[in-house]
Amino acid sequence: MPTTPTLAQVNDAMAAVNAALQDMNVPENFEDALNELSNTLQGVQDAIIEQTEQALINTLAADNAELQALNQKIKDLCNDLDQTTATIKNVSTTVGTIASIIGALV
Amino acid sequence: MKQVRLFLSAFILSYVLSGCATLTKSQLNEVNAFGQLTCNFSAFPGTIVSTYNHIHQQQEIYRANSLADPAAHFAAIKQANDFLRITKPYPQKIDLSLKIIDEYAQGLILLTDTKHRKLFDTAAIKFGTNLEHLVTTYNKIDASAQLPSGIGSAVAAVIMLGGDVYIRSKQAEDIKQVVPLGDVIIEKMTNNLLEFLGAKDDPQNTKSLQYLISQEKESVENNYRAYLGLNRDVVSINKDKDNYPGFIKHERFASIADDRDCLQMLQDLDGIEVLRVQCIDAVTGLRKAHAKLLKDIQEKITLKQYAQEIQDYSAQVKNIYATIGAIK
Repeated sequence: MPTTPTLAQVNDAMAAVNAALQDMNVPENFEDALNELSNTLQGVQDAIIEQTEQALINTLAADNAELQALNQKIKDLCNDLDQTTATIKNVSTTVGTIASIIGALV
Repeated sequence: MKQVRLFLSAFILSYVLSGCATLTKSQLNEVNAFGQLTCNFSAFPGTIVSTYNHIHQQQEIYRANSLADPAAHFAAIKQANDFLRITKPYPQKIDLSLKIIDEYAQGLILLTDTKHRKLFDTAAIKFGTNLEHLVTTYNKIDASAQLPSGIGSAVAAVIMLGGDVYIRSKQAEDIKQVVPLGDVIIEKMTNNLLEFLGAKDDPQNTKSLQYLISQEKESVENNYRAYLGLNRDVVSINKDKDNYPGFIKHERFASIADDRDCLQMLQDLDGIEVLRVQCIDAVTGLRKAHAKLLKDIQEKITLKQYAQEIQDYSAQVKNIYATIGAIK
């Protein structure tokens, strides 16, 4: 099974193709082959970069689910806190209102 | 008056008892500060990859422009387009992972928010004003049993104190539940991030971001030189039924705009390498700051200033902002 070339190897090959494309001694019928080789090397380079980035992304995503579950728990706790605050506020407001009504009645 | 005293005593007692479960305000503030710093952290590693991909596509255009054959020339442009199309979602995918850390940080901010206490304060003040009005009315009716004026605001202050302590106690309970769990996950995620960023300085690791960036510099040089040298154009001269095939070699006279483009690509590659190193520092800082946070909330202490780890982390995040601003 052939091993994937490294970007350094592809860069070296690309530099050689670019140099050949500028060499006046390279025969005309070679130029098409060199053009094609240049594009093939570009394709290889692009594929290596895409695969490397994809692998890095997979590394990053490995523990996403665990933290997502904790974030859900935090959201629930925040909701509880909001409800607790609202309840205390309501009780305080109700008592205050009753005091106000009694004050007005007396 | 006896009842009022009992009421006040009950609140003070509840304050003393529940004080055992609370975190000090400085501890809550520290958790909040950590959350504020960590929010928007997601944009940094994604910027490295999106800038890198943009540079790669741009330098492919220079290579395409060095090919004289129309079919090969267009095929090269198409390849540049394919590369950008395939890699376009990658920064968003990176951001998605990092946004989960952002979300955690935002959760810590919400859990330590003072808005709950402020809401409660408003209600208590209204309650105090109404009670004061009731006392004044009562005193007008029964002049012989004068109740002390100002009791309304005193009771409101006690309610605010009790409410504040209760909410802080609830917040402390939540924080003490969440941060230890978060610490285990933050350790794993920061390790993943450090691996992604290539924290182990190994320029020979061909699967690292560091290697990609260094090789891209070589590639920019290769393709810009090819663009400057251009290539040969095929010529064919017919004279007296004889054909003289040959080549004309172009030496391209690059415009200032071309050179600026090339300069910008090289500068941006330098910029994302700096950003990569700064991200490693900041991720390491994030890990240390969270570990310190966990340690601090496990003790009942008043913090005179934020922990050194959080201050360092803050400085590292500020460095990153400056570098991102410099990248085109």
